[in-house]
Parts: sequence; C-alpha cells; structure tokens
Amino acid sequence: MSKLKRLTETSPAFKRYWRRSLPLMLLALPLGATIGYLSAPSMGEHSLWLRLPVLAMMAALLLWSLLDYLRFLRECDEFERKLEHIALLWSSGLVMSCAVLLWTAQAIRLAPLSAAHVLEVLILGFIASWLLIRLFLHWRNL
Amino acid sequence: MKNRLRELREQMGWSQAALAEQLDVSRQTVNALETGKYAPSLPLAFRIARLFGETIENIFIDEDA
Repeated sequence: MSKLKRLTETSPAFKRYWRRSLPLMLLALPLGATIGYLSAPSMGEHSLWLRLPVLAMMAALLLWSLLDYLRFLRECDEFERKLEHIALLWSSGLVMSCAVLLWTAQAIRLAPLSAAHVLEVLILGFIASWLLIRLFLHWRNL
Repeated sequence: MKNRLRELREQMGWSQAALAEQLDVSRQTVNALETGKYAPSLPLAFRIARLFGETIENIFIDEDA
C-alpha cells in the first residue's frame, strides 16, 4: 500500500464520525452567514428577537458537535483514542501557554490587545494545532 | 513491548488490514502493536490471544521478566 493511500486511510469509527458531522457542517454554513449578517455595523440593536435564536442555535450546534465527538471517542479503538488524547493535551497546553503569554503582554502594556481578537486567535490556534498534531501522529503511525 | 504479532499474522497469511478487521481496530493500531510502539490493553490482548489460539505470554514478551 502506498504511503499516500495510507495517509488518507481512516478507521471505521472516524468514517462514521465524518458521516455524522456532514449535516452539522451543512447547518453551520447558513448559521455562519446569519452571524455575518447580524454582525454588520448597519444592523441596529432592535434585532434582539433575531439575535437570541441565533445564539441558541449556535449553542445547540456546539453541544451537538461536542456530543458527537465524545461518541467518536467512545467508538474508536484504544490506540486511536490515545492519539486523540495526546493531540488534545498538546493543543490545550499550547493554547493555555499562548493565553498566559498574551495576558502577560497585555498586563505589562507590551501590546494593546482586544479581548475579541485574543479569543479568535486562541480558538483558531487550538483547532489548527489539534489538526496538525493529529495529522503528525497519524503520519508517524502509518 | 516486543511481540510475535507480525510473525503470527504472516503465518496465517493475513494483511494488517485483515487482522485489524477481525480485531475491530484500525490498521494503524495493528501497525503500532507490531512495531512495539503501543502496548495493548488487557481486553485487546485477550482478543488477540483468542484469535491466534495462543496465550498472552506467548504473544507479548515481557522484557523485564
């Protein structure tokens, strides 16, 4: 089996998880578009009746994806679970360290950072580092 | 942990994927077990032993013993 084919090879549990996640991703697209629309500066404060359901839908989507991921962790085999745990531990550690560094930079007035931007960087950093570490672990065990 | 998993699998003429299917694990798991990168849990070790009709001690070698 070629290295490339092995790289794209996934476990049955991951395939099931991926199939379950597809409708979730399809739901996230219109929700993302709505959030973009509502965050436009032209949108007034009077649209609270629209903002609250969007927040509730986002909460439901996040809860669904979390439960789905936990189900994947229960269904996958022990070695795959171990790799997931390692990736999660590394990315959590990295993000926590970055958060403390950014907080220190803010506290000693080295860099004027907005809380929203810091949060964006940390969330994206967590997802990106988890993906990269998981891919590296997958590649190492081909 | 050293083991005789590859030797036993090859004796049966199975690929890593075929063994993985029978053990209900991913092929990467079989590879990690064979290369000694990963020591299985007791339930998985028992499943492997049952599949090959051997005892756990005959498959997995305790290097500290």
